[in-house]
Amino acid sequence: MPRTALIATLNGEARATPVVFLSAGAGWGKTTLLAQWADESGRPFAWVSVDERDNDPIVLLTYVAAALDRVAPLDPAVFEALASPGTSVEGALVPRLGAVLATLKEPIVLVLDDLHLVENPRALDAIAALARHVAEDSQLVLSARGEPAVPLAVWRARGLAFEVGPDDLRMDADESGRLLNAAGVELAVGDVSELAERTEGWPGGLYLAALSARARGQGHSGIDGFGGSDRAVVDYLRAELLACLPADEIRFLTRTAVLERMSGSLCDAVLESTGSAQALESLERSNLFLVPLDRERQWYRYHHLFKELLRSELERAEPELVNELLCRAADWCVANGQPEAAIGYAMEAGETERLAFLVEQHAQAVYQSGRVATVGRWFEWLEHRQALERNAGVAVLGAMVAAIHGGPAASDRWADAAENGVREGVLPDGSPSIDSWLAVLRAVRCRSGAARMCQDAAIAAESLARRSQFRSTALLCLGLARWLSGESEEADDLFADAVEEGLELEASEPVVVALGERAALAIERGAWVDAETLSGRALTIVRHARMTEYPTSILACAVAARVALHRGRAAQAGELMARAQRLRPRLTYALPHLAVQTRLELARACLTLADAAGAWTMLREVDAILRRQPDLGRLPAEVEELRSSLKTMHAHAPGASTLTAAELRVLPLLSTHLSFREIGDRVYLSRHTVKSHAAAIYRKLNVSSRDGAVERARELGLL
Amino acid sequence: MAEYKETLRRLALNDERFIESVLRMALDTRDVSGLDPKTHALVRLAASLATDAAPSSYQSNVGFAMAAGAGVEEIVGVLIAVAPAVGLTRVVSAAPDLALALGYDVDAALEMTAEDAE
Repeated sequence: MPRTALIATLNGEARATPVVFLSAGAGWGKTTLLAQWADESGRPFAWVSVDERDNDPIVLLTYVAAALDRVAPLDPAVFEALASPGTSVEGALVPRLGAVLATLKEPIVLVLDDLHLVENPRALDAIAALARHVAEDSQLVLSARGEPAVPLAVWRARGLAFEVGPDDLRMDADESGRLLNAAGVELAVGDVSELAERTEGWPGGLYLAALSARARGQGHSGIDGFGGSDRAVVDYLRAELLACLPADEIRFLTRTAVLERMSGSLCDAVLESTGSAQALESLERSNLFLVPLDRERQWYRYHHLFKELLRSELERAEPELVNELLCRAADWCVANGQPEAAIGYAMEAGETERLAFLVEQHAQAVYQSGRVATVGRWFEWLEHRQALERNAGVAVLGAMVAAIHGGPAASDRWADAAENGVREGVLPDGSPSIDSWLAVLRAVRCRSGAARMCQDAAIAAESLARRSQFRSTALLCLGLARWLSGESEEADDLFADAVEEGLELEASEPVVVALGERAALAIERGAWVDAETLSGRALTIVRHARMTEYPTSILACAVAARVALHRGRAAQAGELMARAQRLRPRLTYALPHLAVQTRLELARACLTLADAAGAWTMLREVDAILRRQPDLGRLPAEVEELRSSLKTMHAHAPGASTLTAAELRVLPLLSTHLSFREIGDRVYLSRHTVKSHAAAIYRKLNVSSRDGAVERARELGLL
Repeated sequence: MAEYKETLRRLALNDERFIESVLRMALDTRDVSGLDPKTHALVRLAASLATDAAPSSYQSNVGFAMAAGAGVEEIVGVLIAVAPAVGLTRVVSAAPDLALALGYDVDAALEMTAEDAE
């Protein structure tokens, strides 16, 4: 059913704006219109069909990148950045993808369909930020039910967005007749205009009417007794349509409506039957129910409106079956290597224990592929259902991820849940009991001081299974604990063991930290050549394992910066210091030993540069961490030593090196469209505090405007 | 941007490098004063508190004090030290602005519940 007039508008008047915004409820033909436009526009369309899982900004941007890549191949570095856990969305990913959009050789159209399924504000902010980079003659098309939280009012006021709404999508009698014809239904002219009027030109209603008419046999309009509203039309047609289908077909349709996507094998599993592949094929031939998702015709989904209708029918007719069906779908996904989809179905079914089991099995792999927010959402979901204490293994994993990625409060809560929790039996990595996982978590968090850390790390190293991913972490912690108590040589040996085991088990994170520690020890004994080799190795692994945005990589950066300064390579040192500065806010008291030690190394680098103000900034942050955990062995004495050598130094005007962790957290958000108040909402600060941080940032970067600050921060490598 | 706007913005931000170049006047009196950097910065902060300065002046002076190694407690200590000389009214009105310069919004904190504060 071609929508010629609308497409002419989109190709004409709407071409002048960078953003096109389609907003209308279910069944208004948004997707169909866009598909037709794609066929006729002459520009390649990069198409993203949004789903609920895209509520992680990294996941959403990965789909955007993949869609762009299909029409204009991207630099692989973009995908590497997307796959690195912890990459800054505002600071790194949006500017990267923005640059791609801004410099495309040929104009394209980037479509985000069903954007209403995304509620995550950071994901929506990222999309809004991309809109600012759309190149001349390219366009960003957003399609949604209702208005998603993007700055539409601003775009509207500046004439940047062209809007298409229900009034534009409404079908007149002529179009209605052609739609019904296309669906193979012939009606008298009077019936058609009657139907168009009753459905108020709503294509979804017309489409359902056509289904209903076909089911009942040709020539029967089935329009008597129609109500006016969308809802009434749907209710009426549901009764009409489903009454005419054979019972086994209704069962197939309603029961498979729990699925996001369907294949023959998955439907067989959910229905506990056979022959679903044929059923899907024959449904597709009837040409109205199903949308194929691939060329091979293996995966399908229902038309949205139709799916909703079927799903509500299932809830009405067989409500007791819904969870069972979802669980079968989850089981099939597990068996077929789709753990994330399985977790999605288990969540929908509210199957807490099953979800906990799946998360414990798969969280580490998903985390390592870069989707930190996705994993975080699972932990939060389980926390809200008080399920972490019943699943201490999951709580340990959550507390670890949160500690490493700058969520100290969540890490505290989840570590408490792990301590109070239960978990019987052998763990997924083969470790004999939860005690060994708890021991490694206690050692990492060091919440009871250095001596206890040493005991915990020893227990973990002793009891973890040989193939456990945590083994290298346990050895690293043991080395750190020894170093804190002044046993440098023993510590160095343990760090070397941690490197070896970590490389064997492909656990790069502890390897990088351990190499950084070894390099720091080498500097301590004046062996600068060794320090250079070791820190160089660490940075190579950081690059290869795509860990450049990991807070745990800062120690290696700091030590490498000191080596570079020693060798007189100021530019390289500056680059490394900027990277460390960017990541520093996320290295918190959740890893107290590493957080203090890394800041000390950075302060020493500042000293070499005669930057007393920068060194004082580090020491102030160190003091805050030591107030929480003073029992850190040799570290407090080292802090005092550094402090006394700083006291006699001349302080210059505070520059970029004195940006505090709080200011560094606000800095990336200055590059967005958000107001100070909205920035405050994102980082849980008041508007006044954000304004005060922004003024401090401007002063320290020697600029007088927000754009100036962003530009200067980019030059310095802070963004 | 018009030059007068830029000038006003820089002044509002208390941008010392700019002010020195416009007023052709040296603001960095540390060497002449003979004080150590931290004392010098704290004395300047005390004077700005006494003269009912703008919040951005506090902020700039706090920045200097911190760059010279002053801790948060010492900065709050300055406010207490000047209280008898400048009067309680002055101290009470300066407290929230000084707090903001330290990244702490007293007004927002007063509005918060214990749960928000977590």
